[in-house]
Amino acid sequence: MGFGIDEPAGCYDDIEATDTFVLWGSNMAEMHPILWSRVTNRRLTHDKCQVHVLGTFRNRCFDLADNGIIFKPQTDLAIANFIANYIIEKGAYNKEFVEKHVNFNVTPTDIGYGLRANDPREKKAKNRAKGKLTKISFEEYKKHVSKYTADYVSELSGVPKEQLIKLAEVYADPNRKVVSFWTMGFNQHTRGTWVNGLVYNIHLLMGKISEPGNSPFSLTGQPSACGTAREVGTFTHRLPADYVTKKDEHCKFAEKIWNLPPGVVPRANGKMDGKDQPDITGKPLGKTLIHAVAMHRALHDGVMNVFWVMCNNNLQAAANFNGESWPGWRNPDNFIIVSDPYPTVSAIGADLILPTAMWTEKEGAYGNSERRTQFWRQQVKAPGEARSDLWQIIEFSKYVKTDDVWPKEILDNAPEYKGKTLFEVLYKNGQVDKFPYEGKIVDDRGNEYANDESEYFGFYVQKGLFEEYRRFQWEGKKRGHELAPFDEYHKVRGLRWPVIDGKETLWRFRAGYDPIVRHYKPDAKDGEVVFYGKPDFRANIIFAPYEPPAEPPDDEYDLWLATGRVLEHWHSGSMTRRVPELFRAMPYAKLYMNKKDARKRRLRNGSKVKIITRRGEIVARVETRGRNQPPQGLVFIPWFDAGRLVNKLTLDQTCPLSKETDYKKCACKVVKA
Amino acid sequence: MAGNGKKMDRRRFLINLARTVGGVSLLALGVGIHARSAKAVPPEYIRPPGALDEEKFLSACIRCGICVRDCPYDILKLAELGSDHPATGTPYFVARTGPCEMCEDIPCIPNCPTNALDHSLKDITKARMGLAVLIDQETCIAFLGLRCEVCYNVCPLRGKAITLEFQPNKRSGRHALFIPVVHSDHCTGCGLCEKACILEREAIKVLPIRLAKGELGHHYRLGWKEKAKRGGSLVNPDKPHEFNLPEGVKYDYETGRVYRAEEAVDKLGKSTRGGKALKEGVQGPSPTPSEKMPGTSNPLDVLNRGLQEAK
Repeated sequence: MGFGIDEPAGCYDDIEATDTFVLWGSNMAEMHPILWSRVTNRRLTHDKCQVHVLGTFRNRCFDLADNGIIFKPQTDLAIANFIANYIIEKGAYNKEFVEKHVNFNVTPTDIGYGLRANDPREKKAKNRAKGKLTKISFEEYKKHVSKYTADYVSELSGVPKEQLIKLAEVYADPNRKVVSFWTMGFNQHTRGTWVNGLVYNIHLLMGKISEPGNSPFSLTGQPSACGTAREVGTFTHRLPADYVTKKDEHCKFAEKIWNLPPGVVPRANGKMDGKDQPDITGKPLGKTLIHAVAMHRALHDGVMNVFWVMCNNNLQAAANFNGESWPGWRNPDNFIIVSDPYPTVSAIGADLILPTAMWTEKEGAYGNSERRTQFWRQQVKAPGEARSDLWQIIEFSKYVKTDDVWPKEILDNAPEYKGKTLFEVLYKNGQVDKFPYEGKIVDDRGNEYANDESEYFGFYVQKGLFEEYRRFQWEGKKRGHELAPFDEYHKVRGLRWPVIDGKETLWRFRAGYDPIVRHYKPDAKDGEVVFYGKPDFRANIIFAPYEPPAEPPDDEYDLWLATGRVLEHWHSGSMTRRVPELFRAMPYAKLYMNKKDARKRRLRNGSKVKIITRRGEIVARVETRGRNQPPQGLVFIPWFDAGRLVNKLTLDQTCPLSKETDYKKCACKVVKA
Repeated sequence: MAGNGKKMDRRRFLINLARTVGGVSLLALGVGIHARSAKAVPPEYIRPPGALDEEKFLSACIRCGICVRDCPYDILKLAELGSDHPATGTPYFVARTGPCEMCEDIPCIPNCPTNALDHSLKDITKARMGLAVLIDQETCIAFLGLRCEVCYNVCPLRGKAITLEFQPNKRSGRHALFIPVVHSDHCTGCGLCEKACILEREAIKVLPIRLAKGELGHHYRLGWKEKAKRGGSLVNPDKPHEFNLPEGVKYDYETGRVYRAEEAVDKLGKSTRGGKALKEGVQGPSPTPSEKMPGTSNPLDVLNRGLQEAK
């Protein structure tokens, strides 16, 4: 919404170029250990460097913090607005930048919490899931944020005024470079889209963006949501390279590249050229595209009956296990397929398990959060009958014919597709199978690698798919995601896109650094900022207010429950809990609790407790002296432990705009088990 | 059942002992001889919390096994008879396989009939079972530049008994080292760190204090501690110093920092807002990031550089 184009403007090199790190809802010390090591080094070796850490509980990042801020859950919205207000009140904002490069907007408010429509909180919401922006003036924006004074925000957030001002100062100082990092504290947030925008607002007000050391950065990771999901378009609403199924024209472009007859890609609204797209029976397709949380609801309701989960432990991850996912998965009307290397909770909940090769057992690629695309070769053969996810999809396509899935109307208009399998249409089509496979892959240095998919299908599958994918970035109207040719990535350790003439882009939207700027604005001078994702080259400052969370603690459920991860385990622990060293270091999930809260409940370190929410309960041991130190009124539990399913507790609330679940805020109580 | 396991241990011990010495009548005598000949258990054997000094402990402990029975985590064992285990029948644990979980109520102590485990120990954090020592800095992966910190994370007195010292990693030039440091004034020797160490053989080990600790000559006085004790300097107060400096340049005697007059310097000697430190790199969208290693130890270098830039 802010830039009209995906992914961050900066890169990891900002770490060595900045004066200030501000962590908004990111436990980088544990979740991004190597980057944190770089942040620490910068703090140690750059005199002027400051580290500000914001969180709802004290985590390992606070060890390095010059300003460690504990705020009440959800009040990050108010804190970010306070900073904007402070900057404007002091007259510190970058007037030239704001005049030239920014539009001011306001978002609809009272947008609900992404719960089911019949939830009272949703019924009450005036603008449920609305996100259409209204343009406002700078003066109006100024008025909106003026409510967020130090006194008001300090009262609301529980953060001392001095700390708030110290934080605001680093943004307001024109001579201080700032990198803002945020992770799941921001993205898994019922106002995630808003709060992301609020931090962009601060950077845009100061013009602290698109240059070394000044960077608002959503820190996702290595095989990350931005690179490996959004960028390549694996979401139901997305197509590759920032194209979306919401736009008819984008779908047509995708159909052209994929050599498909028009109308095959289901539009988000089910309409092509203003007319209804038919389904296989000839009836209007209607709105079919739903997000991940809605999928579990659809399984629960029996509206969606087949669910194929690949290399994702959704049954351990998705919120509200008892209420939505488990009944949905075990609904006898539904057929659930899980492709996974491990007997995960999801695999156990499935009707059919497909043994699946792991990443080193196939050739593949990642896109990570600094826009870096990285490739690897197959290192070992998968054991037994395990096959990669790619193999499974392609092989499956052999069993589906166009006549089974495409409406008659489309086939009548394009009879050459009749009677063909999807394998022939999508892969064995002269385009994806263009690159031959010679029985092995030999790199520049003479090393030989296997490639099991290519061996089986008879052509270089990964290369064919990648080269086809790359056309989205080079042949469409949207520019700025350009990737290098396939073979190039096997010679380098990752390249940050856009890659033009073999050169990477470190900082985007600034002429000189980003070659795409002159594609849109040929006369741009070196150093000029052009937000080319927007037609008027201006980024959006979007005002959004503080709104209360969906399920605050009350008399019965008297504690905040935040969930998250630990250094030792990757997400649901499918792999890492099977590594003896890591298991020894962190075998089971413990409930991190404030000593005083524990004493009040006659608990002590090591006590076995039940953690109970409105949706379920689990048993764990209390940890009062651990690495995470919650304030009174909040408990934290990591969710890696398949032996105690934390998602029995969590609420399936989402940001109504991004549809990402908020796993950080719901109400619970803790009693002796 | 945990309880059964404990009983078995004790029973097995008694049976073994009885077999070896050949008869119940000789038991007391046999143990007595062993106790006298024994100076200590092997270094990897750690005594339960509150154990008296080894020599006193060996004479006070009547090998009843009650502490072993009372340990809720089943980590205590009784030393078996044999040349390797001279203090036969006495309780111990091995940190690598079963460390002390540091129960707040210290259940192993109250039923000790002879005070071999000191009943006056009420606060488990005051126990001194041994001392953790990061003994191998060549294999500890923290020293190799990797993020680990497992010993720090599992330490029940994390932040006191083990702290992390951040150091720049000079080998890589852009990362930090997170070095675990054990502090003997807080370490109880529970061994949780030794158990959790991710190496094939642990780099951090709990040792008996007599092996782990040095002893400083008794005539040493630590100036800063004496100063803190007294609440001020022990020598006469220093006179304010004055320095030859170019116009507009100040020198902070405490920190050794040279800076422009308009710049404020906070307590840590770090320049704060509003000032332009002399050593600053290029501002703005320049591709050259500011210097990697700030400053030099010689204030004059910084001073000269600043003047050159000013021209």
